[in-house]
Parts: sequence; C-alpha cells; structure tokens
Amino acid sequence: MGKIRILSDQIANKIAAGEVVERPASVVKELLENSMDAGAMTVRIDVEAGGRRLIRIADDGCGMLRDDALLAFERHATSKLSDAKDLLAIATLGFRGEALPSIASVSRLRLETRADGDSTGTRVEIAGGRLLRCEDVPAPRGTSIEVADLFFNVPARKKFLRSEQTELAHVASLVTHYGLARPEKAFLLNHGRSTLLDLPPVETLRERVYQVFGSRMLEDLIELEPAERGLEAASDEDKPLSFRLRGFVSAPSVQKLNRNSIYLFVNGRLIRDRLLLHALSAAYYNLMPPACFPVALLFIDCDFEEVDVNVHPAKTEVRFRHGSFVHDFVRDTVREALIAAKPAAAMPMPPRPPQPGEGLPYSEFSQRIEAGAFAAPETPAGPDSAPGKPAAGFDLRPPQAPPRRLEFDPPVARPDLDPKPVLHRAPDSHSLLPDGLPLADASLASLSDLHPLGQLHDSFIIAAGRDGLWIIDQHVAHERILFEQVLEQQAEGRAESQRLLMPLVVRLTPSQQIEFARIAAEMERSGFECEPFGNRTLAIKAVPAGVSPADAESLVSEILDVSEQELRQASADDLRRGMAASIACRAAIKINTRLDAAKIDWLLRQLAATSCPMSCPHGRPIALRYTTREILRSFHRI
Amino acid sequence: MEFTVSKTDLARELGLSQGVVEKKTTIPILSNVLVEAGDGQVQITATDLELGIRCSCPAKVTKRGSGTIPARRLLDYVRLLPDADLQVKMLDNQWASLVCGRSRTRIAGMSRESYPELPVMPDPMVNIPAGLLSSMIKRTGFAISSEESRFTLNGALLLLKADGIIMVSTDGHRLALTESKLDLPAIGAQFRALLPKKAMVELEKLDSEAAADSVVRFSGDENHLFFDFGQRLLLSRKLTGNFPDFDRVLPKDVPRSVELNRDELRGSLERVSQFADERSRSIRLHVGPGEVKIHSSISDTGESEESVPVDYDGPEMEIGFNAQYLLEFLRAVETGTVSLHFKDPNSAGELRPVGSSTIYRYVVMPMRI
Repeated sequence: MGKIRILSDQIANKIAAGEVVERPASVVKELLENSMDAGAMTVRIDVEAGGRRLIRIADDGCGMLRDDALLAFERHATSKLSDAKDLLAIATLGFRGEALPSIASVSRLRLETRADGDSTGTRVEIAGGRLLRCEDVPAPRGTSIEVADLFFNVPARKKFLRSEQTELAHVASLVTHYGLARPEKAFLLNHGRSTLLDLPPVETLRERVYQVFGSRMLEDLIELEPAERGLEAASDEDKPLSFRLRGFVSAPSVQKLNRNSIYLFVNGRLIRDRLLLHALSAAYYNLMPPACFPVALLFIDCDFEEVDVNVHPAKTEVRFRHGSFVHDFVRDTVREALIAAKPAAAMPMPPRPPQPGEGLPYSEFSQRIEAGAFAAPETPAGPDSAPGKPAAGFDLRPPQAPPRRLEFDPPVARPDLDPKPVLHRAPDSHSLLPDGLPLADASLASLSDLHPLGQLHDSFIIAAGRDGLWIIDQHVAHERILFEQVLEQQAEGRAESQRLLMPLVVRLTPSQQIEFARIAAEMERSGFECEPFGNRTLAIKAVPAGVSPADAESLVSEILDVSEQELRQASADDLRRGMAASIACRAAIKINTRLDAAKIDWLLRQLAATSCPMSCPHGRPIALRYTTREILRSFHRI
Repeated sequence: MEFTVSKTDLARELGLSQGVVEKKTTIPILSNVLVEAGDGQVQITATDLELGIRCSCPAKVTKRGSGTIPARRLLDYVRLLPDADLQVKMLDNQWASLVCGRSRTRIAGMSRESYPELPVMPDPMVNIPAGLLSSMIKRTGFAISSEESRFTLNGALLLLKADGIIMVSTDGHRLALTESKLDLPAIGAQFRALLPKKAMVELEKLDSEAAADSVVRFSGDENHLFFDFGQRLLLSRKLTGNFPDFDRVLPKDVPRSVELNRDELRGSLERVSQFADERSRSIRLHVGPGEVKIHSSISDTGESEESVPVDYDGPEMEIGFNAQYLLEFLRAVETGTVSLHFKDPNSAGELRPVGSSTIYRYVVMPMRI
C-alpha cells in the first residue's frame, strides 16, 4: 500500500486553521469580515478573557438559511465567489471559504442565524469540527456566532497565546481598524462587563476619527482632500483606471517611533503594505527625521481588478497591478496636502483633562493594556474631576460614550470660546478681547502677516500674529528657505558656487571614496568642485555659495556619509534632497546670532514663501505657536 | 585707596577699557576694572584673559591702594556726571564711594586679590610710528573670517621684517595683504605672530587715538604681544595655528587688468547688489571693450545692470564675484582709483589701489553663477 494518502477534511481544516486562525484576534477578524460582507449595520463583539474563553459576534446582517448555515462549515464553501474570474476582482473582504470551518475545527462554536424574510432561525453547534446539533430556534435577524474555548483541542497553539492583555489589545486594535474603515456602521466591543469601544454610526470619517482618537489627535491631523488620479489605459482593451485616496495624515510635528499608527486600507480592507508605507515615508521625507513615522489613515479605493488580495490566507497583504503608479499617487497626494495645510506645531501644553474615549489610539492603547494598566478598572472619575492634572494612567472607564460634538465643520464659534464672563471677573481695566479674534487657525499660512517682536537668546524669533504668539527657530527657518532654494537651483542646473583660495584637502574613508565616485556628478551639480587627489584624498576647490570654508570639510564628509547610509539604491531625487539639506544646514544662519529687524523681517517673509514652512529638511519643527486661545486660558480669561 | 580725578579723564580711559571687559563672562571678576592709585596717577586695567588693556590718567592720590569696580556700571555713571573733579575712595568692605559735586554714590566692588595678574611686558623690540598699524588693520581686518577652521583663523598674520611690516588676513575665499616699508634692523630675520581679531579692533582704536608723532613700542614674548602707547598698554595672547602660505595664493599670472574709479564702482555695486541673492551676494562682472558691466538678478524678484567706463580692449570676459567682498575692499582702500587684475572666470581676481606707494593686494576667488 502506498504511503501517500489524502487527508481527511478534519485534518485539512486544522491545517488551514493554522494559517488563518492564529489567535483570538484572527477569529474576530474573520467573523467581523463576514459581518461586513453580510451588510450588517451594527456589530456587537463580546470577548472574555482576552478572547480565549469566549468571543461572541452578533450582527444584523442578511443572515443565512438553514441549509446555508450548515454548508458554511464545509471547506471552501462561500457565497462570495462563484467562478474563478471572480478571484480577479474580489469585492468582498472574505472569499476563501476557509474561515468558518477552520475556526470550527479548533473551538466550540455556536451559530445562530435568521435570514431576512425567514420566519425561524437556525442554531448550529460544532465542537472541534464535529457537528453536535442543528435545530430551529427563534433568533433575531442576522447572525450571531459564539466561539468558546479557542484551541481547546490544539494545546500547542494554546500554549503560544500571549497574555490576556496582549490578546485583548490585538482584538481591540482590529475592531478599531474596521470601525475606522466604516464610519457608517456601529461597533461595540465589550470585554467582560466593560465597554472598550462604542462607536455609534456617524456620517463622516472625521467624526469617526474623533470617536476613536479624541479631539487632541484630530487637531494634529490633516484631512486629505479626496484625490483621484487616472491611469491611462495601456491598451485599447483595458478601460482607463482610476485610483482614489482619502483619509488623514498627521502634521510632521507628530512623530512616532514605529509604524503602529499607520492604518492603510485598500478598498476597505486593512492591509500592511511595504509599498504604501514607503510612499508615505517618501511624502514626509525632509519633513520628519529618519526613523520617525507619522500617524496616518489612508483609504485607497480602486477597481477590484487592480489589486490582488489573494496573496496570503490572512489577507493582510496585497499586490497592486500598477505598484509604482499607486506609490507615486499616494506620495504626491500626501505631500501636496502637507504643503497646502502648512500645519503649525502647537506649544507643547500640559495635557488637558482626558477626553473619554481618547485613550484608544491603537499602539499606546495596546501598550498600556499590556503594561497592565488595565488591571485597575472602574474608578468612576468623571472627565472633569481632575482638571489640570495630567492624565493619570490609562483608565478603561465603562460605558461613557464619547460626548458627541455638536458640530464638526467650521469651528467658528466653539461654545466654550465665547468670551463670557468668568467667575472671578477681572476689574474693568481688563476689557474683553475684540470679537472675532481668529482663535483656531492652525495654519502656517499666516506666517506672512507676522509682526516680529524680537529675538530670544539671539536664536529664536518672537513674533505676534493674528492668532497668537509665534516662536521661530531662526536656524531651521533659514535652513528651510535655503533648502528649497538649493533644490530649485539644482533642478535648473545653476547652483552657485564659490571657489576657495586654497583647495581644501580631505581624507576619505574607503567607503566615502566609493561613494564619491558614484555621486561626483551630482555633487558638481550642487556647486561643489572636487578632484580626487591621490589615493583616498579629495581636493575641494569650490563649495556651494553661502557655505563658509570653515564648514566645507565637514559638509563634504557628511554628504559622502549620508548617501552611504541611505542604502545605495536611494534615487537621484533622494540624493539631491539629502545633499540640499546638508548644504542648507551649513549655509544657514546659526543660532546665537543677533539679527537686525530687517533681517528678521526678511527671514519671515522668505519663510512664508516656502512651500513647506513647517519643518526643516531634517524634520525639526520651525515654528511654534502659542495660540491666543491658550494664552487666554492660561490667564484664566476663558 | 583714595584719589581725586577729573571726570573727563576717567570717563575717556574707562571708555577704552569697555571693549576688553568681557560682557557675557562666566567669571564675575572679569566684568570689573582694576583701579590702582599710585604716584600722581591712577591705572585702570581690564582683561578677558585673552586681551588686556591698562590705561592711566593723572590724579591727586591721597592714599595709595587698589580695588575693583564693575566696569559697565562705573562708566555709565561717570559719563552722566558734570565735568568736575571726582573723588573716589575704596571702603573697607570693597565698596567704592564716589563723590562729585553734590552726587554721592557707592558701588559694590570686589576684592582686588582675585583679579588676574597681567603678564609683564619685556623690553621693547621695535618702535612703530603711531597710525601705521591702525591703517594696516583697516585694510585687512574685514577679510578675517568669524568662524575658525583649519586654514582660516580669527586673526591676521603680523610679520615684522628688517625692511617693513606685513599684515595678511584671509577667510578662505579672499585674502588681503598690506605691507609698510619701515627700517627695523632690530628685528633680525623676522618676527611672525598671529594677532587675534579682537585685539586688532582694540589696537586700531588705541593707535588711531595716539598723538600723530608718537611711537608704539612693540614687543612679544612666547605667548603674548604687547603694544605700549606710553599712557596706555594693550597686550594680547597670540593666536596659535598655522597661517596659510599666502605667497602661494597671490596670483602670479594675471595678464589682464582694468582701472576703475573707486566711487563709481562702489556705487554701482551697491545698487546692483540689491538684486543679488541675500546669502551669496553673487554678481557678474562683464569686462568688455570700453566698459565693465555689472549685472545681478534674482528670479521672481528683479534684476539690475550698470556699466562703469574703463579703458580696455582685451577679450570679453564674464566673472562672477561676491559683491560683498568687492565692496569691503572699496570701502577700505584709500585711493580714488583701483585696478582689477584677472585671468579667466575660474582664476582668482585681484584688486589693488592705483597711484599709491602703499602695497595693498586683495585677492578674491570668483564664483560660478
């Protein structure tokens, strides 16, 4: 008898479960996707013990008939595909027909469902892949699935589950993702008896972001104008394609040390994609220090044929048919939005009393849960109980849905901004501020009408604006101006350079020498004139205008080092930008330099004219703003 | 210590010490001046440990002694006093009492013991006519870089030879050299020192105030340079470092030259450079038959061109320069006519005065614009 035999369905399901069901969060993901595909408007998720003991997902979707409910547990049974062509244009979140049987094979599962228009519902119970019961029951419309004792029959997998908090954090972040992707649907996530997430349906993504992250985060986010870019049809048979992008990105002043706050959705599906992550980093290039990441919520919508989601069973990876086009589209759109918004960094203020619901941003949230802050739950501290005190550790407060803000769009007159009399009214000499003070204009576009007041420590320019007090770092401001100037000159191929009286001889490291050979032409374009001068020495004969000879040596060595680090594959454009940043940094006014009023004025005007006046090419902020509102608050006038 | 001094004398000498007194000092005593009353005169000493100045003026000394008084406060107050005699007395608690007419003031001083001792001047090496050093500093001081690097120093080279004095300064983009012929047999082969920029500023001040026919007694030891004006003494620490070999930088081969009217050229440059880049100050000189055209432009802002008539019939040539560099020479040069020597757009240009016996050469590297 041969050794090779066909595996039983039960074993095949368990194997598939290994790929699909990794941890409680994967169960939630698969079931949540089913609910979405079923058109549910309200989804309620209950988990117990981080999902190890129980996961229950109840929706009000289309439900299933009795036969379907049974068939759904067969392998490769799905309503979402009918023939192979459908695979090329997947419109639903799920499509493999593996989730339910896989989950059922590693847990005790109970499904209750009633299809629209059917009078009775169905209950199916399965344990470890074996059907225990199937009966008619009364049930509300929709489907409810209870997954208990996950991995009860796979002890190896069970051993690898992390702590309750970790697993819960994964579940919570997953629900958060889907909540963000579908603002029109309601999500409720309960852990035991406490509510982690309560997202009633809202109309706009902006409101959903507020529900999830709170107002602080929203202030730092720039909403992308929905953008669309078409791709010319490659041949007559193809129809022209179009890609749409919307979402939020953070101001460059928000800098995260990991990518956990980047949420990418393609056709409503949350994915991790290196191509898109790179596009996003490229958009922030020269706005943010390397190894820092923004917060971003990007939604890309395109034709279903354009993206292949059938890459991995977990469906978190995708392949774009026109990858580089998508990359450039995302990069350009985000960069344009950043340039248009010119967000100003606010003064780092002591944290305000925490907003309920604010605590849920994914990464911090999960870290805190993991750190065990979750252990001390219900201390019923109202949101206003401790004003001024910094937010104490994370507090997973029960229900308390985030307060619905009355109006989102134009924050012209926020209710609390009306300068109404305060308790301790100041004497009459303190008259009220003139009406109509623009209090919430957080854009650097107002740089142009700043009125400089002077210099602090010969390093920072203090200026009064319509909307408050500004502090501008003179060095980085000038750096930004020069950076754009140098880029422009590079582009036009007319970089000014100043010859040196005596050539400056620089010793190179071997890798610098290799690098020099590679980028010599680019350096000349930027205004350097260098000649190899024997082995591993370089004679610098001319440097870009504005760079003092004192800085020339370190500048050249920095350029040769930088491009070495930046992996050799850095594009010519990146290389040029890096070089321009180095040149600008060396040529810019240093701190500790006294500036006269005319120079300050010139600097501000030039800065206002730059396209990105918010951060220097190395990513440091240029201007801080102390808003009139914050000043008023600090003086207890509002 | 107790003495009476004329307010005008004291204010003048205190004024000279202000440039030396450290403004942002971390050592509090250095913001004080040391006042010493001796035989018929008071000496005022100020130092920042790099540079020291000692001035004296006649006084009626009732009791010898010394003390230190905050320099800035003392000067500001003395300046406001009426022109009359001022009586200064050091009290036991280190406070200084000042009485002038109907004003009485007490200023908190500090103990004299903690004031640094200035090095003693060795025997003078040479005597230099007053006014010579200051004029040389005027010609070279502006070309000193304010940042230090390997080949630019925050000071000028002072070279004394048996037949004269040479002063050279450079910032790596340009070099100014001036030489005064003088018979200095006492020097021997040569004496070479680097004079810090701050010392040059003070030296120029003292030297241009010195009486016309007086001399400056100059001396130097291993670490210091001394300039003795009789009533006033300036001493400075030498800068250490190697000054670049300026002979190699001076262009040997400059086949073409034009002579220009200094004020015309200066006026044109000042106007045209309004339209030069704020940082690089780049302008183009187009030398052609009969005229030098000066041109500059900033995209999106404006452009400007002027021409200065010259006597020239060589090949046409366009060279880029930093207008600031040219202007600084034109402001320093004494003669009404200057000559520009050049070879090609990539080689150093040189400016010199025309019709003067003074040796003054100013080398400027061109820009590629």
